[in-house]
Amino acid sequence: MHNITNEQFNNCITAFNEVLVENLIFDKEYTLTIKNNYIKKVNFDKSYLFTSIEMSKKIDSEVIRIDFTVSYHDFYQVPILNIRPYKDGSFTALNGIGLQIAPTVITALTTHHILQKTWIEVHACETLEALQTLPEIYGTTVDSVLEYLCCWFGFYGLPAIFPNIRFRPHLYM
Amino acid sequence: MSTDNKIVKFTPIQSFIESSFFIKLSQLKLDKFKLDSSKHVITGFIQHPKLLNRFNDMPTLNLDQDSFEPEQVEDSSKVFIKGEIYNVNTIEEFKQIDKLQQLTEWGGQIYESMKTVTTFDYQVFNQFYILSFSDLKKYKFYYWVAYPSFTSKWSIIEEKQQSDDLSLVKMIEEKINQLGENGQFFQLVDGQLVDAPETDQPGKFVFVDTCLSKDKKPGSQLKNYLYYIALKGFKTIELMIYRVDGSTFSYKLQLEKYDKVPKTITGWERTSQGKLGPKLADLGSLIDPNQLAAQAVELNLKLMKWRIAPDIDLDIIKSQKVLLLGAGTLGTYVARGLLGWGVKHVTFVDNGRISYSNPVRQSLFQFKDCFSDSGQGQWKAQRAAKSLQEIFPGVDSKGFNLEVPMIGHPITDEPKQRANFETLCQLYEDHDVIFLLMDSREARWLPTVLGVAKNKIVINAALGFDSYLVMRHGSLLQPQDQRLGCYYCNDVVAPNDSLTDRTLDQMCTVTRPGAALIASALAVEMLVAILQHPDKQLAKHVIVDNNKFGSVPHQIRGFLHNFNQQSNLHAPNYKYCSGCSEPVINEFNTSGWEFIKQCLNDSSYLEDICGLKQVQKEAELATQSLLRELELDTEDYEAVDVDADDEDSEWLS
Repeated sequence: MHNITNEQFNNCITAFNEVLVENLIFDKEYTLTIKNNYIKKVNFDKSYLFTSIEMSKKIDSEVIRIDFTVSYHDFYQVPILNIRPYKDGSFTALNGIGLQIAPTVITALTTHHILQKTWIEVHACETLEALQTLPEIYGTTVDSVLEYLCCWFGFYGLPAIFPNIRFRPHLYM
Repeated sequence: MSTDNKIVKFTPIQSFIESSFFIKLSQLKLDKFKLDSSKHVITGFIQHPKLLNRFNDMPTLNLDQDSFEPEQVEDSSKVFIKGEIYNVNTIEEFKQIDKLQQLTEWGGQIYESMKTVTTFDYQVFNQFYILSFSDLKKYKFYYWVAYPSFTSKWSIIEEKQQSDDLSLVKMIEEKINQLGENGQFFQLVDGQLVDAPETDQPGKFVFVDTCLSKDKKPGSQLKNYLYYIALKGFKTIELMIYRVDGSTFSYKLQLEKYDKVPKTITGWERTSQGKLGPKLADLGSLIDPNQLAAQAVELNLKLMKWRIAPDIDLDIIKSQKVLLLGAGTLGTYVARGLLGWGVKHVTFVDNGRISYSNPVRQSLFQFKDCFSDSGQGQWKAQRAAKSLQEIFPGVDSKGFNLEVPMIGHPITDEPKQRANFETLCQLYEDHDVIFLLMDSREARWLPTVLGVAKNKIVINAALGFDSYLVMRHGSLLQPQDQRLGCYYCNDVVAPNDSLTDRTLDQMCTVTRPGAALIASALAVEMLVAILQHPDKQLAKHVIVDNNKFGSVPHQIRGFLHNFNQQSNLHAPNYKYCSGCSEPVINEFNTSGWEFIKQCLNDSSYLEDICGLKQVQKEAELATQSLLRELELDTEDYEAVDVDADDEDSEWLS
């Protein structure tokens, strides 16, 4: 797949957001609810998608909240996911919220490249190279940037950290 | 569809305050507001009505890190709303404020604006207020958001599920796309949407809904517009509730009741449990630097587990209690290495003060430490412990000013030296790992004995001028044929006073500075290797081990003159060793301080106990025996060459 630019990201983020909120599923004993979702513009022609999801267990009242942003990282030239997990209203380390964590994901507690506050980040050091190895899908009417963002989210988005969160949009139907 | 006497009901607004809002508030409180609890204007936003989706079933007021900024970045996907925050200074003040009185006061401000406003300016009708208290010690934020609302009771005469007026819908869509100051509420006058009330015209209005609630209750922002048009004299109205998803509906409403001067003002936000009360944001783990550092250090270490060493047990490293005997060059660097590995409990033992030569080589000390404490210089152990906490507050570090009793240095003050001995014994009990990092050979003897007697992990690092040794001590629990030696196992004499009558360069460790860094790093990594080995300190010496974290050598010797390092050396336990042999440990276990006291006073006593004296005697006898064997028979000699007699007797003597 070809790399995308900040401008392409900005132009497509609303369309991606529509696909995202309709296709996030938690496939285990939790019910996933989207509590908040918006795209915000900030200075220097940057924008980010903010979403807050809540996962409540069907059998008890335990509620896990995950806030996340999707933004375009100019240095790594790829989209990047930042998250803040909360349990009982308190920011909690990834392994403290009680969800299964993928063993291969590389995360760091670091300063959000746009919001300048502490967030957990899925490290973007390999994203560019990995996405370039994905084949282009020809002959579809789907916007190639949207396709790219959906692929990226599958590999380096929420499902990359939480294997029980599924994102399998039906782009080509 | 007719609905008799049904009253219009609303979907309450909910606030969504992103944690960054409170982080910003805490910074402003510390740097700018300080004790100022007067109002501060802030900006929130709601999602633009054209972008609402099925998840927006409640109107949501968002606040985030930009809410305190005077100007917002232009963003057509948002409707920005002005509000005010009152951040009081104490929780008592928060409690004591009469909440109803406060709401009435805020509502009064909106009411005054309503009396003068000439348009349906949403900035007037949507104002919000926050009462908050920031507990900056615990990073807890108590807050309560209010949306002052005026009550006017409207009964529903008729409700239509969908509007069939497509041209009107199109007009609304055009209007909200150009959203300026107005755009939430319109009057329909002569087929046109107007932004101001026209009382001589029929009461046809449009409210652009702020949520897509499934039960068709419009967002509670509508309340103030309805009160306003009641105030303007409308009694019967037609109201279209426009929604972007096509679920637009219309009411025909009859005004039942309203107060010209509002008596009751509502609008305090309810909690998620439906209670009228403040909310709490506990952001300790997100703002508190101590908690952030703790998390970041742990996450950093965990990176190893992702791919490079997935089986590594970080918890065992984290849980070790480590005693560092010596807080000098080796001690301070070892402590830094342990900190890097996430060790949380480090104790220093040293009896010296920081001198002017120390800070350049000893990484936990600074220049000022050389002359503080009334010009004497700080105690090394205590200062090292404090420095470690300054680097990482999550570490539990302590320093003990303690002279470790040294063999060959006779007892001069028994109560004091015995107390030191007992403190050292207790420290051994309280720790899992002991590092021997002192600057003399004899200072390591008692710690060696204690380490074997109490079966602790003991790692010893020692420096020469351009050489270093890092080794682990063997354990009595190792099988006899695999038992590894200690620092003294290669000696045939007991350690003795090496300091008296020595010059300064002989007493101090004169070394190439880098040797200490190398040895310290190796000592720490050796500990980690031991901890990852299934047999821990009982692991036998194997050069190539398939253990998950590599091999655990017995000793590493390095030479800087040729940059050579050997880690395949090992020395088995010596059964007459003065530090770790069974007779010594047995005697220590039986007699404790009395045994130690005698050893300190006279190292030949120790040589007796461990058997070295016997070895020395046997060696002496063996030498004499060898000499006798080498002697020539005098008679034979004389027979060979009489002339050589004088010369040879001189040589033989």
